[in-house]
Amino acid sequence: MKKEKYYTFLIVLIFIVIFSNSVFGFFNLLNEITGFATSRGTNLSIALAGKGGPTIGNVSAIAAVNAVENSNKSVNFSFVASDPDGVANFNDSTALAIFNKTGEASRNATCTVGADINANSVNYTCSVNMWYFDGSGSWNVNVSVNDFNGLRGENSTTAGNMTGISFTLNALTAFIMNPTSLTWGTLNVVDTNQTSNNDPLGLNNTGNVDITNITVNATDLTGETDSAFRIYGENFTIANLTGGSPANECDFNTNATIPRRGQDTQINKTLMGRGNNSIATNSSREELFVCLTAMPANLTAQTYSTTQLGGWTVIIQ
Amino acid sequence: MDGDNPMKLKFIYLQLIIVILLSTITFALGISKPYWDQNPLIMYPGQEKTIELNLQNAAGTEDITVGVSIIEGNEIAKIKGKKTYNIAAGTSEVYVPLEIKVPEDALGRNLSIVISLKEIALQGDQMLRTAVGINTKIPVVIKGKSFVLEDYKQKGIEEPEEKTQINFTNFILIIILVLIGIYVKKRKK
Repeated sequence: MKKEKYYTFLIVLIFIVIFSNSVFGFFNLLNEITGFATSRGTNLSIALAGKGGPTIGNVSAIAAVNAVENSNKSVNFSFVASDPDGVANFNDSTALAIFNKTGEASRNATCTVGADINANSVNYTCSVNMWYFDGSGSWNVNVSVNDFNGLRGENSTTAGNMTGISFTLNALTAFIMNPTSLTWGTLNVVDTNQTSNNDPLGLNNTGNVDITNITVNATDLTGETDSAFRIYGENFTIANLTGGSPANECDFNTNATIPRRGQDTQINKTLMGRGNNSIATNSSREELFVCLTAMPANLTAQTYSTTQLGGWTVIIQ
Repeated sequence: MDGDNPMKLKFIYLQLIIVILLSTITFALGISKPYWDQNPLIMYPGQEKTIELNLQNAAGTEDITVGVSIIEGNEIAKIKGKKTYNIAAGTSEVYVPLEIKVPEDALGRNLSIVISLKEIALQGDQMLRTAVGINTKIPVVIKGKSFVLEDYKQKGIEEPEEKTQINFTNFILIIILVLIGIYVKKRKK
């Protein structure tokens, strides 16, 4: 009888533990307490090239990457390769990392051999440059290495193998602008359609986002001796074309835009796609020509500038 | 009339020098962000989160000072800390923390946060000074809590979990103690 009670107690206890584990994940808790790794699946596994060939695992995670405007950013990570024939069998010069994204040029680099982990495993470190115009989103990571038997180990998410890792390249909105101020020669108050003598204002898209809207927030130019007199923002026009008669940048009936004081005014027909600025044919550049179409009749002879009311802001989005 | 020529020449030279100097100066401004139209920030009602915006002036030749403000989405987002940042020429490591709090009644809504960066133009004697600015949008999609937590899990985003395991441990201990108590009591009988 006592034995029966004892067994009944044991069964009830086991039932409680099993039930609790299924509901609360008790053994995961135990693992956390004891320091054992949790039993969650990982996508850092291995693509086998052939019997006895290299295998690749432990590809280190890559945190989201901020591209650097008009430049490149080194993305560093590592992986572990193992070969049953020993670490001496690796052909280190074939260790390669490739980043892929549909519709984008691949980025790749050879990897450097690091310390041996044991007799069969070695660590490789890789540094791949991502460019400012590389598309934002998820990039797949493909790493591989050959051994001297001609066998290849690979870890990737491409070619139907979904065991590799990926990382996110963040969206970068960026541009450069030159020159930083516009000038005119000496003008008479009756002069009309006077284009700046140092334009165009050159803008280059230095990020990985297409710029579909370029606006200008204009201010008045006030007299530096007597600030009661002003050339208004609306006395100017802006266009991304020049030449013609009247000049395109001065012709607000067709191409040119009149900037409104204190408002973000979109400039007609402006667009800057992302792209490699070192290629002359790309569309990642805009040039803005600025025209002083007319001046208020009551202006006095003095220098007019944006010193008092602040400059014009060129805004992209 | 002849006496005016040297003055005119000086003026022309001065203008040329100014134009040449201005042409060597380049302003640059950039912002890198983890969420955009094709990759919106997904949150659940009542959730709070702080994200970082990365400001850059890597391609510029001059240090710039920019004002950071929110021009859309003030009801859910605020910039933590200072609103003005100096970005040295050639640098790309300035970060702006943006705190986002989703209202409890926002389930199913698509929200937007639009951040404005505007260079605070320094005073100068140039005729028409120009400055750089960027407006950029962060889309926020509000989904149910379980959906969001599953999405975070798939993307490997860590989200603080509620501490139910502590209660569970106590629960198990109590059950075991009660069972032992019952067993010992019955044995004594």
